[in-house]
Amino acid sequence: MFREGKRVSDPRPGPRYGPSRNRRRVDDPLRRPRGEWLRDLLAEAGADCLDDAGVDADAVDHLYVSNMASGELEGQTGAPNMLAHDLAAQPAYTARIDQTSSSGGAGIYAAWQSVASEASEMTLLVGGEKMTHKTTGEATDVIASLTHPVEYKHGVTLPSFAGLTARLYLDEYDAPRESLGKVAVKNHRNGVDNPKAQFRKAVDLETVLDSPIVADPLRLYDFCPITDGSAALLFCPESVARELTDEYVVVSGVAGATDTHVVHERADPTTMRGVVESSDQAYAMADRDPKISTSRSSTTCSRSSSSCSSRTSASPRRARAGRRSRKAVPNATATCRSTLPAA
Amino acid sequence: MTDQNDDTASEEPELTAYRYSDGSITYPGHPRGPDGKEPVGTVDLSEYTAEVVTWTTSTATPPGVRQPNHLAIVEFDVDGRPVRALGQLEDGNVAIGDTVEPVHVDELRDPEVGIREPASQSWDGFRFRPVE
Repeated sequence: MFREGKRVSDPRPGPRYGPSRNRRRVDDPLRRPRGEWLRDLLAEAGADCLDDAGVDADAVDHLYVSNMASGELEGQTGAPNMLAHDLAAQPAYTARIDQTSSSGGAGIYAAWQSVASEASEMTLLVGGEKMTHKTTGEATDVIASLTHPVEYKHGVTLPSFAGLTARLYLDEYDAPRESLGKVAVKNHRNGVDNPKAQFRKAVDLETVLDSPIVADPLRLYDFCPITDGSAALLFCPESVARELTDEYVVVSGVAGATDTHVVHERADPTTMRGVVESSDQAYAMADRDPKISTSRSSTTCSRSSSSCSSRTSASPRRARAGRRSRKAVPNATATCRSTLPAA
Repeated sequence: MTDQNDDTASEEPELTAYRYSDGSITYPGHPRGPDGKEPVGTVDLSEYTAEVVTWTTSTATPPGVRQPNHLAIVEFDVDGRPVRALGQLEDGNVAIGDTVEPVHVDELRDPEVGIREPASQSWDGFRFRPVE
């Protein structure tokens, strides 16, 4: 470690020993800007989550990393093992949870399953992605690589799928374009009150509707940005959660389902059957009625998609697997930098 | 209409959909169809016209893709069976419900600059243009 203190100049020629302020320690990863790359993002969220919960890393039985494309975006694979070592969580079992744009929801399912099955008594779930070092086109292409070959060769992107869906939705339901814009206005307003929100700036409807077109009829503010970020949750049995804190959230219903991979083969392009199925199952498991529920997970990249539905659904009520939450969320490390999709 | 159950396909490019024993038709084909069984035949959709289900113009396109990129989901009617396909449009002058026809293009995007391995798939295909 470099120790601050009085330095004595040494007029003699020859090599100096010990670190110098004028030298760059090229092999010292701790000196990189915090939060710069995936390893930093995951470690920051994971460490803060454990600290907030008052749980030592060696108590973690399972450690999952929700991540879609670290290999394609950063050339960094093996992220769960890297994180376990950086947090000193060995010998925890680790796994990467990749479920494309619903990797976060799939991670929650996997973490819940590990505790509910009693395979793990303490599971740390950390989600993260590092994207902004790529151009918008490059990042868009990585995400679009999830498509079928007959879709990919046409240059289809996830935003363009959203544009296709939005146009049909507005046409079928005779909905005004402003109704989708109001979703963006609402989401930005909610971000103002969240200290870890990606954007903490309110926008008005006129700004949304006048923003550049990305995938007609959808515009810039209808989409989430390409960005860097991470977040972490800790899962444990409710009996353990009670020992750690007075306030925790329980997962009373969770489910996942899959729709057709080829989007145009869906019976109704404006209905995501995977979302409908998983929601039905999650509500049934929780013994809740969607008409009175106030919480549902949504994993989408556009406002129009979030208006239609989501994929992995969780409804909090009855105890199955709890997470420490003295605050609203144990830890959520948000954006370091953002690149908005170019129009 | 061409209904092919053997390997005597012509050299002309086809927009090939697959038939299954329960009567359903899908584009693209899958090793197992909606009925859980292997396909029993093919249909060349390039011989049909289709109706525009929805469309978009994408302005933020990946490397190797034209900008802007006009895209549509269209629906063919094959003897009363609906079959959908997604593809590029020749231009953005279309509306939901318009009739379009497939037009073959040798290369829909530059395969050398995207993330996908160029040899892993074909890169020619069909764009759709309005029928006058």
